[in-house]
Amino acid sequence: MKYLRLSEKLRRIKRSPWVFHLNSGSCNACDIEVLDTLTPYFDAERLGVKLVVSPRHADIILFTGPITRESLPKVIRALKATPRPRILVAIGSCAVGGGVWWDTYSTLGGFPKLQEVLKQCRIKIDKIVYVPGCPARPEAIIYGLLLALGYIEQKVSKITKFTSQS
Amino acid sequence: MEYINIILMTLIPLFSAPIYDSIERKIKAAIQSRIGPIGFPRSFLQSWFDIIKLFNKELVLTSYGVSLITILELILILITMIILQIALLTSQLYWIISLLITFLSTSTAFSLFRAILLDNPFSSIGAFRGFYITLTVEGFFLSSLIIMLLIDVSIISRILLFCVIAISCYVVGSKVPFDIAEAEPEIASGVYVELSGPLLAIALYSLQIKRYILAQILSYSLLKLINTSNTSVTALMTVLLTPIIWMIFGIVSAIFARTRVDVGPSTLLKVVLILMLLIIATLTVKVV
Repeated sequence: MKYLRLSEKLRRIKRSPWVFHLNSGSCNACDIEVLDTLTPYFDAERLGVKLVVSPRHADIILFTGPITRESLPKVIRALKATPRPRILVAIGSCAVGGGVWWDTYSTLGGFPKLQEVLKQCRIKIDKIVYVPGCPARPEAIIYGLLLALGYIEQKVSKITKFTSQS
Repeated sequence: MEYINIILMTLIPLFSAPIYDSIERKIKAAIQSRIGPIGFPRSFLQSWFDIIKLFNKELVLTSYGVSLITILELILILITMIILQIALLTSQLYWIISLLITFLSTSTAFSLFRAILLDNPFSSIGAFRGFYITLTVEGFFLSSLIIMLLIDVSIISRILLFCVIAISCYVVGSKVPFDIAEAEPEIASGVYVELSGPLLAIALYSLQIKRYILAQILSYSLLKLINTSNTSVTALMTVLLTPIIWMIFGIVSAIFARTRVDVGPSTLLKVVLILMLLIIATLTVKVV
């Protein structure tokens, strides 16, 4: 298992992705949308998705919030407790880039900044998918899950270079 | 020929228990106006996919004792299952019934010991709730099973005994509302909270085999209730009735999904006590 490639590991998780909902101090709008994704209307269990209550059981972390300083140690512990391969879906503007809290004193300001802290703690995240929106819609969250599991290909390239026409 | 029958009867639960669990998930989804795991393989094999995936995940181990007890629990449940199949095919051997009951209670005890050993408060809370529920029903369950299988009693007593066995099989099989600890989401996975990867797979597989054993015991009790004497017919009927009873349990658990988990054990104790008093009364009347 240790020497398998990520695509091979993902193939095994693909048929039975278990998700853990990790809130790092969000306004709860994204959390309501995450719960909505798992309710009968959207029924994520069609894809084998199951909500688990312990990070030890999780394959995918549904991450919300701009990471408040108070929640930071708990977030690190939860991510450390998750067995590898760790897949993370950052949901909502706050998780993606901090949102309106990107430079406040009490928050870290989104997942990219948390990643620097995780590198120092030697916690590796194997795959990250960003689902923007304030709040992110349930359809977008399901799309993000499918992207994370490799059901669909990413439509846009990761880095977009803007060039002026003039 | 008997050996072949025993091997066949032993192999069926090993493969079919996760399949029945997958079908139960599909039925629950239908009751809750959902689709559930979609497509042919997912509908029947979702629990197998879960177990296979967990076997391939990283193992985060907190103590070596836990892994040993989890493996021992699976072994004990497998032994219980083999003894049950022998008991079904050779019902004239009474000592087999006592051996079955011994192993059934020991495997339950092991699953609770594992939860107590874990250094996690959520696991301990789940284990103590498990202890309370087990103490409530285990004694009545095993004594009712012995009376039902070994003693010739009146039809009213047999019906009451069957009710106690049915309730106990539902409760010991960790169905809603007797599966989760209180109402906090953090402790909802109770005794499984610290397990990960292959250990969690073993624990879940053990639970599914245990549910199969309990459904099979209940189907055997049902056949005893209607006084089926032919051994081979009983064994075949048990195999056919087991998935039906499993699905009925699934439907009941979907209906009970919104019941209060804190009221469940006390209501259970009251119901079982009333039934046991009625059984004692009917047995005493017969003796007099």
